[in-house]
Amino acid sequence: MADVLLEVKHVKKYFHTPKGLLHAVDDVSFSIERGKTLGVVGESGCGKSTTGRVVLRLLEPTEGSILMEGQDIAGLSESQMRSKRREMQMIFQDPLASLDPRKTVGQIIEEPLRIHNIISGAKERQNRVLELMETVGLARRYYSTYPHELDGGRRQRIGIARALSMNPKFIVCDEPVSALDVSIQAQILNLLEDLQKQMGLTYMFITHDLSVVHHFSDNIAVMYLGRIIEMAPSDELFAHPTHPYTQALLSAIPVPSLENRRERIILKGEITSPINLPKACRFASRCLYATERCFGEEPELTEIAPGHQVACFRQDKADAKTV
Amino acid sequence: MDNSDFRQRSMFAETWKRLKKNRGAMIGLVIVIILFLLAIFAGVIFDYDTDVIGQNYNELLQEPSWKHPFGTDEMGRDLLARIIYGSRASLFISFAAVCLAAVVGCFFGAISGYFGGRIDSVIMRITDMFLAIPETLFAITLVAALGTGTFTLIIALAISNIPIFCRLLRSSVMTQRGSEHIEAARAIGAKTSTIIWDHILPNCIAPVLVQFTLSIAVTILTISGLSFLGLGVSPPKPEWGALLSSSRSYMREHTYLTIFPGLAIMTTILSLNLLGDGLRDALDPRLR
Amino acid sequence: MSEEKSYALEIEDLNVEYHVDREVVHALNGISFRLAKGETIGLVGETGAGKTTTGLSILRLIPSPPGVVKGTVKVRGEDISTLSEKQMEAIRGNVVSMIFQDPMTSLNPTKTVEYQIAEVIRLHEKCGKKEAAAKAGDMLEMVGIPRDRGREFPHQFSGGMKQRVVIAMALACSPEILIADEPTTALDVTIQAQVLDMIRELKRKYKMSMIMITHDLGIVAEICDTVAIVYAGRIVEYGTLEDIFNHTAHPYTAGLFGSLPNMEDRTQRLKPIPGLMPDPTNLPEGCAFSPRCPNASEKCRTQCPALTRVEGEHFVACHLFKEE
Repeated sequence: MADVLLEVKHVKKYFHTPKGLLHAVDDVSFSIERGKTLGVVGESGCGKSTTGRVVLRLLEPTEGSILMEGQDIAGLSESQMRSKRREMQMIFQDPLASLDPRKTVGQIIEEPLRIHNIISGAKERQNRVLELMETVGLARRYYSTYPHELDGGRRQRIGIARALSMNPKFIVCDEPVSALDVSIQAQILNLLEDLQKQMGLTYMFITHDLSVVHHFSDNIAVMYLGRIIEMAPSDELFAHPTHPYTQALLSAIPVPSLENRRERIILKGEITSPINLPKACRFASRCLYATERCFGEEPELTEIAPGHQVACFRQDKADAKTV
Repeated sequence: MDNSDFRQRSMFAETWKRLKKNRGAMIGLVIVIILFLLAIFAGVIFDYDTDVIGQNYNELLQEPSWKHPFGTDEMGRDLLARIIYGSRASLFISFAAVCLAAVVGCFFGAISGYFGGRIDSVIMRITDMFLAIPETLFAITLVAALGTGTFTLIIALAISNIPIFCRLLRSSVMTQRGSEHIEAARAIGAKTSTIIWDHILPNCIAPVLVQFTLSIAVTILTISGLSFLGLGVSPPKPEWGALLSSSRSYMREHTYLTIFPGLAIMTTILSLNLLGDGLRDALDPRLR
Repeated sequence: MSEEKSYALEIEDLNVEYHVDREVVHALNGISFRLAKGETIGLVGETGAGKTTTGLSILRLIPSPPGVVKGTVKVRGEDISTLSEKQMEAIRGNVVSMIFQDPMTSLNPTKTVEYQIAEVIRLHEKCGKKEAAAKAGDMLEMVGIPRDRGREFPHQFSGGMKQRVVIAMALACSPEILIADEPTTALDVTIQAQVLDMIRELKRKYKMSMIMITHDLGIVAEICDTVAIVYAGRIVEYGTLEDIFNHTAHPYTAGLFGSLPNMEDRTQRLKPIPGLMPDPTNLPEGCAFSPRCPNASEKCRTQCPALTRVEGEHFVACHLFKEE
């Protein structure tokens, strides 16, 4: 049987705004096997980052349960959660903003070791920090420099070293490479891959970059306005995208090659904000195939192939289109 | 493994190293130190009873000379001696009051900014109330109620300075609280107290330092205003503001009587501002 | 040389330095290229390569001091360094227009969208308020925004719509050359697709010449005719789309392609370029790419290679290639 590390069930996160209730994450369920990567893609405002933060309880879920190795962490107290954080870490999008500007590289990586009292001696702690720096490919001479003195790639390595210092089992990577240049992006992606192999890490990889997510993830969940609208193994999703939104999204990737260009599906309109949603498919207003049913009923995720789930009424007819 | 090269740089050593490079800040620092030394050792240089409050009708309103470098006042007292003794009152009261205000104000400001919600509303409404009362008026009321005296004066001036620090820290804590590195600190399991002390406050210190020097300047002026009204330092005890106001009537013929106390106030404020700006920059590792 | 005339833009040995704090930032180190009428060139490179500086120098917008500009930029055959500030103002927005990366900061939040577009028109064309407003409405329709939304303020528009407004402003006086500096980087993929589609359409319709500044080779493949790969303020490879994508010559260009995930085979490991961009205040001797280059020889570390012809219009600045 599959060894499930993290299981998220019916998680909701609502925010009160002056305009009404914002359904940032609306009934999302998924699970991630140990040592695997779940990619979460979607456009800005689709709730992917919020989902990542709710899973780590950096934001409190409005409803739902988050099972980490069978234990529901949504019910843990503040202090229980603090010690649980050793197992669940996060790598942030903006490497500079997520590092305290007044702390040196050494201090930043050392902090978790001190907080959780993982290593008590100052000397031993320092050795561990240097060891971690080596693991992520940071030269020892940066030990007492400040993050702002380094470039984006090195900053992101600091963030990775900090997350690794507690030997976590699970890491949420929130757009870890989108602030970096292409050549540096590849360096960091390779590093994350190597670390996963060496330490058996499990990732939730949040990104808007479809080519990166395809390369990096075992499974992919596509989100739209707070919902997962399609979820499938990586190759399956790219070979048989079924939801009209996924199809449009995949066709919109600018391919860096002159051959095998895709037919573009240009979507009309833009993503709206999930406030006061009517009972309808959230994509219906932009969908090329929307029928009356789509405006009156909300489709549920249903399995159409092994491991391939779609939330669309059109699913049975969809195969004809993708061939 | 030899780790001697990887010793953490201490915050103080680092700050000092950067401060030394800033010429303006160093000038400010030297002047502030001299002012403090003069205030502390005033009793060694001058005799309080004879030089400072002893009236000498043979030497009324003398122009500056070798004997009296700053001249003498309408009662024949040496102005230099009075200014140096006066610094005791001005510097001590303003520093004590502003320090007290900064500590209390920052404490409530930090709480207000970090926790937000109802606590924030309550603290902010109280500060708004205090902000609505003019500083001098408030001090007058308090001094009138509690009686004159250095201690009352310090309390009155401190209370009227609290709201500024409170609001200032609240807004910078609120910006800091929303930043990603605070979220990162929560993600590694840091306690609330650690987050406030280690991550938020060090990043909020810069505006507080600048406000500190500004507040000192304003407070010195308020003290002199109060002294003028007879609610501050009571004569014949010298105080800068009092010196300035008592010299008003002689301003035309004996300009030096207003110039020197004015210069004393100006130099103090200028050097404090230079030092404050320098410290703000030196405390920020990004500005090097 | 009657052919000379057909170039919309000629840049010859452009050098830009910034003198700051006793340091010299070498932003551009001898960029030369020519842009034919109706052609689109892609300037590709990473942060700090000098792409935006190139765009700004064409508009003569490099602040000086600290900037020092050398070399010639000819717009319609006219050397812009000889023009007065007033003549230059007539060129900006009228003959050469630039779209910046962040649509949020290029619009004035206190003026209506229509007013802002009309303002550009009235600056360059003699026409009344009404006429300009009507033309602004036309421009909005052209970029796919209903005319009556022109009365709204920028904050009432979404990111993609704002970028459309910025494009409408840039095109209001039908410029001959459009410089687009990462116009879609701040946008989502589906919106990026819409905007790129629109740019391509407008370019065809108005026969504009365009400089597309980007780091995304995918966008280049969709929009450009010729490509210049920029590294450390120099063009290291120049050629047609076909040359660059199918006959990649320079090791840096190859490195850029290697850094991208393979869409056909997701298990294939990425081949990043080792190391970092050189510090523009302290460029390495010889070829600027040599410290990161897998094929660097002794010659590369001492001698800076010049752009040499590989074949046809395909040029590369690398010692590994010798002119035939």
